[in-house]
Parts: sequence; C-alpha cells; structure tokens
Amino acid sequence: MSTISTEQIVVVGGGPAGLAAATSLVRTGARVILIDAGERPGGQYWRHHAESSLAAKHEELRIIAHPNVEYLAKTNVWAATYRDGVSTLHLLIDGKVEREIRTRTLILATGAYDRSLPFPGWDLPGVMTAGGVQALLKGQKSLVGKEIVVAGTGPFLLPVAIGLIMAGVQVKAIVEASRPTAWFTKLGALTHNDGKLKDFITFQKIIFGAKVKIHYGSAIVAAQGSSCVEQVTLAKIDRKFVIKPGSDRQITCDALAVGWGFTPDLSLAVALGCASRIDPRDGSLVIDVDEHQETSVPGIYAAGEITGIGGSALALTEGRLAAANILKAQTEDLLRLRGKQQIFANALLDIYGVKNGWTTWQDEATVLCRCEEVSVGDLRKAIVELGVSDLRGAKLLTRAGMGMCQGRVCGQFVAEFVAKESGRQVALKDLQGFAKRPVITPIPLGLLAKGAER
Amino acid sequence: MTNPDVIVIGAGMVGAACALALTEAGMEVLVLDRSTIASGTSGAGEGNILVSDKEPGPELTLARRSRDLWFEISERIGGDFELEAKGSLVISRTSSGIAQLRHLADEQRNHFVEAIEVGSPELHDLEPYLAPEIAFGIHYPEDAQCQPMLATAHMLRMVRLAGGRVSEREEVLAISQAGNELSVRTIGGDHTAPFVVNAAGSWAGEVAALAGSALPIAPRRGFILVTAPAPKLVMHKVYDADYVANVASGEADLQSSAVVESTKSGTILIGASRERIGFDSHLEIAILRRLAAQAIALFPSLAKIDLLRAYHGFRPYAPDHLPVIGEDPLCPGLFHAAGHEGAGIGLAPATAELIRDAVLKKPSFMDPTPFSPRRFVASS
Amino acid sequence: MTQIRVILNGESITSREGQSVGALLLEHEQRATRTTRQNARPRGMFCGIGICFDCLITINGITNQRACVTNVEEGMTIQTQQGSGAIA
Ligand SMILES: Cc1cc2nc3c(=O)[nH]c(=O)nc-3n(C[C@H](O)[C@H](O)[C@H](O)COP(=O)(O)OP(=O)(O)OC[C@H]3O[C@@H](n4cnc5c(N)ncnc54)[C@H](O)[C@@H]3O)c2cc1C
Ligand code: FES
Repeated sequence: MSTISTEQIVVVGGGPAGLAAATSLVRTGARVILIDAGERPGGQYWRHHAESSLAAKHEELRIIAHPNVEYLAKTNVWAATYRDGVSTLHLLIDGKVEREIRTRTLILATGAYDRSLPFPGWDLPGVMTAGGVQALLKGQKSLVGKEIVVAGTGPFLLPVAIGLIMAGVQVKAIVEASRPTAWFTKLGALTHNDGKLKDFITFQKIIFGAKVKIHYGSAIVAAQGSSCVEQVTLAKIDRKFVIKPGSDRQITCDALAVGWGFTPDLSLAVALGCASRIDPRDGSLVIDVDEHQETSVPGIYAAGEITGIGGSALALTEGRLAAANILKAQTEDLLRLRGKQQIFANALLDIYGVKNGWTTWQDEATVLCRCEEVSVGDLRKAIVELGVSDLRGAKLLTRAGMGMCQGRVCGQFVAEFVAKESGRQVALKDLQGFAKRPVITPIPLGLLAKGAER
Repeated sequence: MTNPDVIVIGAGMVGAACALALTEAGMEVLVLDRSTIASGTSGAGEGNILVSDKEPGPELTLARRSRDLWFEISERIGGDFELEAKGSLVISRTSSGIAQLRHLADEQRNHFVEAIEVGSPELHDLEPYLAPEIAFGIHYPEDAQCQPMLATAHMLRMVRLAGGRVSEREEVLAISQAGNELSVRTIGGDHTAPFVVNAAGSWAGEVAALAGSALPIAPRRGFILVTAPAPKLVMHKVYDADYVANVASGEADLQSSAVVESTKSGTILIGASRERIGFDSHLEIAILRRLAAQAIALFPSLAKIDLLRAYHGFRPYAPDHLPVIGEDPLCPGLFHAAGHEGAGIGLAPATAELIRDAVLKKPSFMDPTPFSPRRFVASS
Repeated sequence: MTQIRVILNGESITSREGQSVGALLLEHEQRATRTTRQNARPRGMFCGIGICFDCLITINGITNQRACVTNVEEGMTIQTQQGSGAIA
C-alpha cells in the first residue's frame, strides 16, 4: 500500500467522460491518475477488442500512454472516504493488490449500466442485457447465441442488433417499446445532433436489408426454456406499457438481448458524500452537479452518465467541462455545446421512456431480486402481512437488494414495485439508501486483513 | 386524535416486544415511529440471543428468561423469523484467558446456564474449520439467534391483527400530563393514553426529555461485516473470550473482537466493533480491517472469501451498561424500556414482560429494581 | 494469438490469451455458470460487464468469481458452481 501526494488530479472511470477529462487536463501539463475497472480504456461505449484499431480514431483512447498519465487498469475503488477536503480512495488492483491514494481534486465518471425490468423467465441463461451482448461482441468477439431477439427500448438497440447481424447472427426480431411517431413530436430537438439522426437512418437501412422486422409498441414480456431460453413471448403494449390482451405470440430463439435504457452507478460518489437527486426524466438517482460539473462536495466533480443519462457525446463534453473548470479555462463554447446536447438527450429520454405498466407483466413466481431469488409473491406477502412500505423495509424483510450486486440490478424497480403496491411514490430517501454501498465492490477478507495494524 | 390504552414510542425490537406483550394482556396499543419499523438500531445489528456473554447478576436473569420467551413467542405467533438455537462456542488461546473463561463458566453454571468445556479434538468436531491451534473452548448450547427485522415485523403483525395500530412516519414531538393521562403530540396530531412506553432506543434520552425527564442514554457505534454467500464454514456463533471483556468495558476508544457466524441466507456475519463517538456515520476502514483479521484468526478459510457489505448501528447504552426498564419517577405513566446496548434483541421479550407487569402493577418473574430509571432520575 | 490450456470441469481444453471465462464457456456451448443457492436454478452471464454478479463460477478453488470479467490464465481450473460452491 502506498499513498501519494494530494497534488495529482484523479479521474475515476475510463469511458468517454473520464478520458475526455484526462485528455484536457494533461494537455495543459497537469498530472493525472486514471482509474478504470476495465482491462482497456473506453468504458462501455468505446469497448474494443485487443486487436481493434479504435484507438487510432480517438485521441482520448491513446491518452493512457501519455507520460503525465498514470493509468490503472483493472482497478476498482472498493471503498472511499472524504474528510477535510481530501478524498481517500481504496483501490483493488486486478482483484489482488490494494493501494490507497488521496487527492484534493477528483473527477468521477463511473458511468452507467443497462437498466433492467423483471419479467417471467428473465433469469434464464441466454437472457442478457443488450449492453452485455454488445460487450461480449465488442470486447471478446463472442456471441451469446445464434438466433437472437433484441428487445427493450432506446437508441442503443439498433446498433446492438446491427453488430449481431454483421457478426452473422440471425436476429429474429427487434422489439422496441416506443413508437416511431414519438420521433416526429421531437424533430426540433433531434436536429441538435444531426450526426445521430444520420446514424439512425443508416441503421434502419441495414436492418431493412437484413430483412429483420422491427416491432414497435411491443415488448418481450416473458421467456421460456428449461436450462436456457428457448422462446420468448412478444406482445403489443399500450402507451403505459400494459400488455394488449390477445396480442401475444411466441418467437423461438436461443438468446434474448434486452435493455431498458441505463442506470447510473453512483456508489462511489455516494460513498464520498456527494448529494444526489431523482432525475425526473427517467426516475433514476443521479449526482447533483452545478454549472461547472462540481458536486456538493468541494473538489469533487462528476461527468457523464452519473449526472443523468445523456449518451457519449454529452459525456465527452461534460468531461472536458469538468477539466476546464479545474484548470480555470474558458468554458463558453463547451457550455453552449452541452446545452445543445442536453436538449437532444432530453428528447431521447422522452421518446424512450419506461412507463410503469411493466409492473403488470409478472406472475407471483417471477424473480425480482435475481441475487437473492426474491419473487413477486415474496415481496407482496411482505407488503400485505408485514406492512413493508418502502425500499429499506423490502430489503430488510425480504432480502431484495441484499445480494452480491448490492441492488444495482433490482434496486430501482423494486422501489417502483413497492411504491405502486403500497400506494406511495418512490422517495429520494429510498433510492439514496440503496445507493449507499460502503463496500463498493467485494474484496477478499484476507487482503483486507493484511492492511490491519495488528 | 386517538385514545388507545397504551402508546409505545419506537417500532424497534424492544417497542415491538412491548406492544405484543401489552396487546396479549388485552390492551389496545398504538405504536408510533418517526420512521419505519426496525429502522433504528434493530435494523442495523445482529440477532444474537446470548446468555454466554452475561456475568451472573440481574442481566443474566433477564437474559435467561428472555431466551425462553423467544421460543414461546415463536410458537405462539408463527411467522418465520429464523429463530434457531445454534449455540455458541467461546474460545481462548491464552492461559490467562482460559482461566478467566473457566471461572465465568463455573459461575454461570451455578446460575443454571449450560456451559460445556471442550478441548481438542472435540472442538474441531464442533467447528471443523476453526484454526487448528485453538485448543480450548466453552460450548453454550442455549445461545440462539433470530432475524431481528423479521421478528420485529412479525410481532407488530400480531399487534395489528388484534386491533392495535402501528403508525409509521409519525414522530413524537411532545409528551405532557393531561389529567390522569398522558398526551402525546406527534407530527400527525395528539394521542392520549393512560400509559406511554418509551422504546426509542438510542434516542430514548431525547424522548424522556420531551416529557420533562432525563435519561443518560448514548450511542455506542458498531460495525458489522457481511461476506458474500459462502459454503457452510461456521456451525455455531464463535467468538474469542476477549469479546466478553469488550462488552463490559467502559472505555470510549475503539474495541473489537470478532463474533463469527453463518446465516441462513449463506452469508457470514462478522461483528462487531464498539466505540463511543456519538452518531457518527463515517466509514472507518481500519475497523473493517481489524474485524477481518480477527475473524481470519478464528477461521483461516475466511481469507479467501469476499467481504460484500459493511454496515453500522448505534447501540443504546446507559453508563452502568444495564437497560432502563420501569416507570419514570418524574412523569407517572411514562415507562422506559431502553438502553439495552448490544443485547436489545435478546433481551426484548423479558423486558416486555417487566413492562407489562409494571403497567398492570403485577409481580414479575424477577425484581426489576436494578433496571429502574430511579438510578438516574431522582423523584421530585 | 497465444494458446492457453485451462481445465473446465475436470477436462483440459484450449483457450486464448485475453479470452474471458464467460466467452470460453459460450464457445463450449455452456450458458450456465452455476445454479442458485435457494432454488438450484441455472444462471449465466446477464449484464456481461461485472455489475450483476450472476455469472458466478469457481476459479482455482475460489468461489463466486465473475466469468464475464475474469480472463483465462495458463493452468486455470474452472468449475461450474452449485449454490455457494464448496470449500477448497
Ligand atoms: C453492530 C451491532 C450489533 C448488535 N448485535 C446484537 C445482537 O447480536 N444481539 C442483540 O440482542 N442485540 C444486538 N445489538 C443491539 C440491538 O440492536 C439494540 O439493543 C436494539 O436494537 C435496541 O432496540 P430498540 O427497540 O431499543 O431500539 P431501536 O431499534 O433503535 O428502535 C427505536 C425506534 O425509536 C424510534 N424513535 C426515536 N425517536 C422517536 C420519536 N421522537 N418519535 C417516534 N419514534 C422515535 C426510532 O425511529 C426507532 O425505530 C447490536 C447492535 C449493533 C449496533
Ligand atoms: S438483483 Fe437484487 S441484489 Fe442483485
């Protein structure tokens, strides 16, 4: 274990936001420690294979080789504390070695992961998040199946489907909960990013060429199979996500890629005491930042998805903005760009909104908390018999959220489920309680004990 | 405005047990909590029901009665709250520790506690993964455990079934005399009842103050480690005899001595530290390290198992380490049931019995004088 | 690319440097990495990025390792896991 001086700027997260921040910082001669859990930089968006040429295209991906950057790959911050202006990060490197670093200036860019919704059979092997299928493909050139259905909602589904088509997979269907008409109501906002709009049209062409059908206003509401998924149930849903009776039919497949947008991972920011709020656009808990991307904790900045889901372009800008503010540099252009990108992001979140009719897709046996195998029936029983009325109660009395992912997968929808069943609203306190994970990622007790004084 | 027979302030383990005992005695009970059930210390600790760590005296009498009541209540109210008499194994490695442990066990045996001395190899038959060099232990088969949040919720379920009310998110703001009764003002309105029970745990001093009285109850922080689900490695509750010394200590600085046990859900709990630093929620990594090291000293196989979570709670303690159970000398009708420190789960049912008997002015299973609030509050 | 030998459920197989245990399993038509603790249900990779802890598997005798973020190493023993697994 070693401690370094507090003069270096530390960036946590090697996705677009973190890399952009690091790049801006080192350009002016600053020294940066860049910490990332992945084995290569890029995060989820720029995930790439070892032989990929992606780094040639993006300066940000090459910044790890800069002499002023100390790049720590495969490194998790497993715990963190903040006291008297100094953040102390406890690192677990490659699951094997501990290291402690302190800093007065910290940029958090810990990103997001796929948002999931529970449905019967979603725990079967072969059902994966869209991001997971994409990560396997981009990072490992590996395919989860040969006949795959891509489902959920969001602009991310099409690139996932296209990646699979290019890799030779038979994409059996693309199932998108929103309706194309939703786009027309947002055309004004969408012109704020015409690059993305062009991408979208290209995507449509490829999918059309591959003869893959896109089912709009529909969802995969169940999966069946014995040892892994063998077929899924496609159904039409109304604008509130309630299944239209009689509209369901089966699709055979050997894998399902399903994603409902993204959930920011706030564990580290919350551990450091950064204030959070519920993002009214999608109901997720996000870190509260000011105009300068600074959090409620002086010296700690946040950029990218943890400040609200907005995509990679906005993440890059936020990362640069955080850096510019630390360097006391000019920010006008960046602020203007951020404003435009936010309008675009807002429009997308609106088009691809998740509506709480999903709470009608389950049966009593449907698993809600995957880790602890807590079913809808278990949770209902606790609500009715034991008076559970909030997320904390659900956790303490059913174990939902107590598993190894520490509620990262189930937290938000269990909160929504409990709120709906007990006639309450999801409270900020609910989500904040769940995001409190003093042990951010597991660490072997033996390693932990090594650091004990006696 | 409501008019129950008794108002219980605090829906933790102690409040729930009192509410259940009073309900079963035929009274109409209103339970008030400023947050939700088991949201205080009862949801932030462990569920040990121990006789092994008690020296002969009033607390041991209370503990033994309570342990039996736990099993009676479980029979009576059903609902699975994971009550299990898994027994403890208290070990020592040093000759002085062994001598002390032997002495304690002898005394406890005189007070009808089952305490069986075990040496090697029987020790390792009981605990196959215990560090091989450990050669002395006392087995306490009566020690038990429950899942305190579930126990609290199930007791309150019975209270509701019998017509009582549990009102969450209703903070008590003032308590005053209203004729022969007490008036309790909350953020939701006023309630009056002839009897009020203060089961506000670590905040019981504040509630006493609302009634114009005072109780010297303060928090003693404790951290607990939870591992990832693991193969069954620990059969009993296992702890080093240092623990008993820690529990009894009046020192303010950090103490810790790992108590290790497996839970029904597959995780292993490692508790707990003790320090007096007020209601401070700062994570102290050094404490986690120390607990991990102590646990590994007991079970070397733990070294390869992941720490998954850590949490802390605030034990409500009184300066003399005894709970405060009985009527307030300054505020007739107000009964305190608080300050159980690290044993409030275990001691809850017998505490409730003392409260019930005090309210009904009936003789009880033991003389409650040692627990009386009079030791801190002189009557005017 | 460097070939690596690993032992999957007692059988010696070839893998490549940089391959994740999860990808290796898929290559061998194996979706499930474990069964669950309560209901013994099969589970495999779900989030694919180390967040969900569903693809748990025993590696070199250590339980609960994530197949999706663990890369193969020469001589590694990989054992699909029943429930909480076994003590090495
Ligand atoms: C780390 C740790 C480990 C422990 N392990 C064990 C163990 O193994 N065995 C054991 O027996 N004990 C254990 N304990 C101790 C045990 O948890 C406590 O003694 C017990 O929970 C106290 O219960 P209580 O009902 O008195 O308090 P609490 O559970 O704290 O309940 C008090 C309630 O009062 C409410 N309240 C406070 N003020 C007001 C107000 N003004 N108006 C309305 N409501 C109010 C609070 O919201 C709270 O819900 C442990 C404690 C810790 C911290
Ligand atoms: S899915 Fe609930 S804790 Fe992991």
